[in-house]
Amino acid sequence: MVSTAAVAIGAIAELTLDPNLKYNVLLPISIVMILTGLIRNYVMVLIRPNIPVMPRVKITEQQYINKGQILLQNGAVLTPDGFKMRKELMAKLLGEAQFVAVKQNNNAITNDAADQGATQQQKPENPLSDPNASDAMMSMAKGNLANYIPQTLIMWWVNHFFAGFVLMKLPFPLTVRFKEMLQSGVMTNDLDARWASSISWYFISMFGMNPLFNLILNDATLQSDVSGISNDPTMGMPGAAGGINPEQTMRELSNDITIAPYENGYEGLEEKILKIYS
Amino acid sequence: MEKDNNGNSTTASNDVLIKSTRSIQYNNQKLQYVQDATSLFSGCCCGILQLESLNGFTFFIIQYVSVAILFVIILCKGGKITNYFLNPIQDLIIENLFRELAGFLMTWTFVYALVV
Repeated sequence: MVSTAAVAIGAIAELTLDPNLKYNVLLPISIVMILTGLIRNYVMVLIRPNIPVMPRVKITEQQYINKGQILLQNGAVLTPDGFKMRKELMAKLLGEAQFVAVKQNNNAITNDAADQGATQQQKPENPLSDPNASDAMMSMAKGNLANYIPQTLIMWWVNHFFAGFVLMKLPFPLTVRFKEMLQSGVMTNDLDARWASSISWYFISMFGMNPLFNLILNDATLQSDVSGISNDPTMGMPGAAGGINPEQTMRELSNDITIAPYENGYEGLEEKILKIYS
Repeated sequence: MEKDNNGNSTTASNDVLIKSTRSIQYNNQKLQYVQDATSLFSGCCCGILQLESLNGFTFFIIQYVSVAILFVIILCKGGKITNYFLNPIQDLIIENLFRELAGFLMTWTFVYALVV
């Protein structure tokens, strides 16, 4: 059992650990971590903001931009005439920026927006003043809190109750540099870094929990929250945060559409189909 | 795979790709589910077998790659991988590597410590 790495460091390699450690420390920590993860997930579902409220003009603007992009991407399925017609129409509409929710120069609101006019007067330059953006930021902050509070609590709990002894042996050797982190409460100078204390089990399981949660909560509605904070805020509301100037986007898109060549997706279709079914 | 993702990012013609973001996402999710399950399970195996250091990591690499290959053969029906994934190497191997490695390490250490 004595590995060569341990010998090289010069530690007395084999310790006998109390088997009760497994049942009284290792299992409780793991169970608590899994349960906290589950609870956090459901809490996130509960505090998730309702469907983000967007004024109709904003949605129109978003959808016209999307429409232009889709035309660029999937234009090949159209007939040449159809593509040309759509291309001209979209280039014109986007070029005039007719459906921009908040006009840049004259602050005029498009006729759709008469009812929303009062709230939409200012330019959405400052994301803090936009109610939607602040909503998104609130939910982001809540998500962060829901992540950090239990982490801090568990870390405190582990450090307080399970410190000062070696819990387990890692199956892989580590360099001496990890010693300080892994054996924080253990006062031995030349114990091999493979012997780890409970806080290191906490860290290992913290990083490894994601796949487990994916298996446990294999539910499309819940999954997005488990994967973490990193991709959440950007996915939530496309373009609503007011970072990009929609009018600019539209004009650029219009230019792109104007010069977009038509590729025929139906060329040689007969041969392809024959090849598939022959 | 179900009928939903069969026509995911189908090649329409020689160069023209028609993509459906939803299907691509669906495929990636399926792949991730398979990878999650297999890496956790192989971590358990490693722990039970009491594999140490390099042996364990080799085990992980072999199972990870073979799962990717099996995924292509069985679930993508051996067809063109590019019909299912935009850039296969990236999606099949690199993207989830560290996530799966962390999960593998977790179950490996856990079972290793339990079995000893």
